[in-house]
Amino acid sequence: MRNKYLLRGIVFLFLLTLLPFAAMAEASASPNEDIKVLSESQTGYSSIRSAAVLGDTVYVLNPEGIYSWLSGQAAFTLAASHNQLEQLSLPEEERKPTISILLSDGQQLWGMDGSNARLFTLDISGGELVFGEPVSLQMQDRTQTYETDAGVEHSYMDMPEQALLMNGQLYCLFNNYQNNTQNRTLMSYDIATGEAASYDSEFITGIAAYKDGKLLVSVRDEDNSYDPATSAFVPTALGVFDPQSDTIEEIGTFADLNAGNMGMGMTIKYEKDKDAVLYLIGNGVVRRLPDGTEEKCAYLPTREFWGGTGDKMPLLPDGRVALCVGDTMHVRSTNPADLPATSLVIYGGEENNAHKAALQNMPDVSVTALQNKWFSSAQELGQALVSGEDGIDILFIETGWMDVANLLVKGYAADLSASPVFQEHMDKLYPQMKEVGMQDGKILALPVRLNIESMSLNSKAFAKLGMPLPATYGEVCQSVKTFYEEHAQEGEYNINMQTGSGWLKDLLLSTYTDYMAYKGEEMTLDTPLFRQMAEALASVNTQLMDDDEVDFSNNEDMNEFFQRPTLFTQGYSFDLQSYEYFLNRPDGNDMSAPDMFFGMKADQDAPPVVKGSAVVMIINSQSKNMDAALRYAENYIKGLDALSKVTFYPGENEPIINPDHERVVANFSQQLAAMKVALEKAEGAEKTEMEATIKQMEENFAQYNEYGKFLASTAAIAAYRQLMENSYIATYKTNMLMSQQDLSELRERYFGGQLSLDQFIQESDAKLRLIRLENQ
Amino acid sequence: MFTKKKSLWLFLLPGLAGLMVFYLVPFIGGIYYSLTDGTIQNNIVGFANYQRIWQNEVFRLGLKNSLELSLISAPLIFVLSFLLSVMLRSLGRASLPFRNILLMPYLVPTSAMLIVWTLLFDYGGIINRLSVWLGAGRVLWLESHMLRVPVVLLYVWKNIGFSIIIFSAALQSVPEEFYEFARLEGAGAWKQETRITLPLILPTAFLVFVLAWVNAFKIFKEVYFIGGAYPNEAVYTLQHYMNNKFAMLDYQDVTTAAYSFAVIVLVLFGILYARKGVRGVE
Repeated sequence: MRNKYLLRGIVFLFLLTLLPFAAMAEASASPNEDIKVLSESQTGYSSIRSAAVLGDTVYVLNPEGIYSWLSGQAAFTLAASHNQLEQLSLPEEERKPTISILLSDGQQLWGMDGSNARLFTLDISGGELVFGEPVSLQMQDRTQTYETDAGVEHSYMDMPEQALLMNGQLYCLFNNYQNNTQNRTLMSYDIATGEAASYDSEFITGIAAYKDGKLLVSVRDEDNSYDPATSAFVPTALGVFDPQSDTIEEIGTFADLNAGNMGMGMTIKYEKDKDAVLYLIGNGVVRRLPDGTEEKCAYLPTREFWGGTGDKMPLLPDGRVALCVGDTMHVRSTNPADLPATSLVIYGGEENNAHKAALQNMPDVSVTALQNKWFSSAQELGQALVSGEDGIDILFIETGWMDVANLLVKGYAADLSASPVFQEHMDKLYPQMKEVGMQDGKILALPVRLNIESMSLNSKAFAKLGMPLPATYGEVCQSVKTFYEEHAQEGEYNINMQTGSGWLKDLLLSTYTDYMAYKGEEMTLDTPLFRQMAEALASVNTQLMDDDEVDFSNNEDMNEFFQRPTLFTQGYSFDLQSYEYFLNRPDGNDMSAPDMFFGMKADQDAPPVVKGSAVVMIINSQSKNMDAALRYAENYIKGLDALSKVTFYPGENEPIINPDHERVVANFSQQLAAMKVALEKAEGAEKTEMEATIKQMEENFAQYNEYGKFLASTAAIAAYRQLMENSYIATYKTNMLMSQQDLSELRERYFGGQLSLDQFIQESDAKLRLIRLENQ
Repeated sequence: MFTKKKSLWLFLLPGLAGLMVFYLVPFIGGIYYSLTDGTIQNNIVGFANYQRIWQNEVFRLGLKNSLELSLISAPLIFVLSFLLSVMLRSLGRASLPFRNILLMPYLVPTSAMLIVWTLLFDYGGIINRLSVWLGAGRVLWLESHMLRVPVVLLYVWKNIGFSIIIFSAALQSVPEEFYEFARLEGAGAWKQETRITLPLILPTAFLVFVLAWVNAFKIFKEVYFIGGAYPNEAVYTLQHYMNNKFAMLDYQDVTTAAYSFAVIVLVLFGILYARKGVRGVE
């Protein structure tokens, strides 16, 4: 008896000890999850195209098949394989239907084949995809046709932007860009017969299933969405659409004027239990309650919800929403209490890999970009930081266009010196990059982006014309003169990607500015070098260049222009990824593209200087979320991708292999195989056209196979390092001659002939002197 | 119970509150900023800012130009408006349309006038075309030190009407008998105006001079519109210095320059005001 009670006591104590673990498990089950589609491809090719909810399961469609996910699972599982590219290689009679959009009516999964306007049921219960009998949809009016240069007519079907199944009808919202309007058309198709019904109700931008056979719709005339009188967007209305009467009853408006402003319509969803409407805006989901009040209820780590068709925001049975971006589904609670307690506001950032890496490591912080705000000067930015009205925590600022140094001196930037992550980053940087972030030995700004602006040209075009390659500004002027004297009349070449004489005039000032900035000298124009360069420009008949200007609004002129090879290829920046292609592309390909990048010399004795434009990340010294801001910045730096590291750190010289190269090659092969199968059945002009297309594809394939292996090859890195040897980072001060308004006006007057060179030099130097002395 | 005194303060309260909030508080706050280092932490550095800007060549240039422009413009307005007022007085009722015409420029927005002025004095403008037609060369009115000429002309033209109104009102208060006696004694027009008119309207004349001078110090927007933030050195004023410093977030330099200038102006006016006749004290 005593033993029985002892045993019960031991079991009780044992169960008691399990309680904390149970509580921990309960606490750690986060309402917010990010679920990836795990497939062989690492970038883009497993992108989710469409999603649908059936019961407790979320199904997503990607090029490889249909994946499923149940709440609690760590990843998607392949429910049924259906590689649509592989299907194209099969004879037509053996091919399974294409699935463009995955849909659910709550009872059944459906697939829509957008190319052939068919709808069919889908059954994947057995692990194999079983297609129901397809119903042909009357979508003839959504067929678009075009004729190729070979005179072959092709047609394609418009894909709906949004689609949903309700009460035996497939409702589709189509865009009408081909009719030069931003407004959309709502159609419905009977799922049993395919019969189409069109509606006169206008300006619908989003649809969601409602009740009593009606739809919830968002409404706004997108062609007139901006009201100049108020300098704001017109509010988007919320309405109830009755398909029977083809009428919309407006029941209110959405509070945020930016709702639906990305040109992608509005993503809305009806929440039955709360009689509320959920809508997607920016990187959040907002709930609009029946009384019109709104509350943010979900935070998303990205704004990039560009793609996806069908149901863009499936609602799960537990009230959470699921949004798909790339190969990831973001499942989010719509309970405002589950929103991250901390938030960061970022000005000037972009959603690059480092940003995404930072967000991945801090799901407990809501990171939002400051919308609809642009600070054109350090003064405006400083006032905003002092007043705190925008609550900016982190800033990304380009050093060439805003006086970052002044912001640092004035104490607007937090001291980041204590962080070993930042210290390591700064120590590895090019010295000229490190300099822009340091002040009195402290790390106040982190360089996180760098673009270099080098001169570029097409050396093969120069060789064909028998012209020497220029290295100095004077030699560029001579090249222009020679071109117009000897070759322009033939009309077979362009002198530059930019027409007119503006580029040559700007090049005078930019080359001289780069030279002075690189040497670290105070800017003055009263030097023999500048006069020599100005005289070289004066010797060119710029009127001939201006007469040669092309009207790029005229399609015919523009096409003709781009058919011709070009000598100077300004507009192309050096790019690690494209370098090999530019250097080694076959003769005759892309004759407007460069094959040589170099720094422009002011004269023979000057170094070939290259200007770098850097963006720095600054943490607001008055930020109320300093810890979170520091975490973000550290995660950002740690998340810099391999290409960025090669760009910033002179010690990183290992070539970067393209992780997607094999997959792309495999895809290319599949596409070629599919084309060849289709070629066997083609005849006449269509066959000729297909043969030409296949030939071009094979050439592109060979090119990619050869040069697509690396994101940055050894040769590209070496070329980049050489350019960086004589580089400097542009700052507000060094850009003064090109950007300061008074100096710009003087420049215009000089180039317009209103000022002589001496007057221009005298007046410019006087202004530069004033600017310099003011700051002493 | 409300006494007279209490009622007085009650009625004054709203105005005083506005004065406090929009004048006194910023005035004292400005002094504070002039004693800080200009960083967001606002560390006190004492009079270091005053020492530094007085050593700055550009600050002194701006101050010099502001004083010069005011010393050219204010006397011009004073003399011209006095002479015109006297002429208008002699016309009697017929002076009304002329007075209105002279007042018109005061009512026209400066920006509109600047556009016209720019067209007139531009390199290819009417003045230069006239100059070329007459055989002389073009002048860089808007880009060189010659910008002073159109700026002063614009200032005088715009503000002369207001001064005429003030002078005209003052002239009406001078008894006609004094001029009759003076004529009988053989005094000419010059003696009448300098020995009778001016002494009797000295307080008003002082007011006109003060207003003209204060407004002349504010010559900035005209130059800024034409010459930008960094015009020719001859027209770079103290306001340019302050404006540019504000744009560079150097609030401490802005306030330091402003208070330095305020002290100079106070001293100068104090000296003038100390003269009995100016105060109208017998």
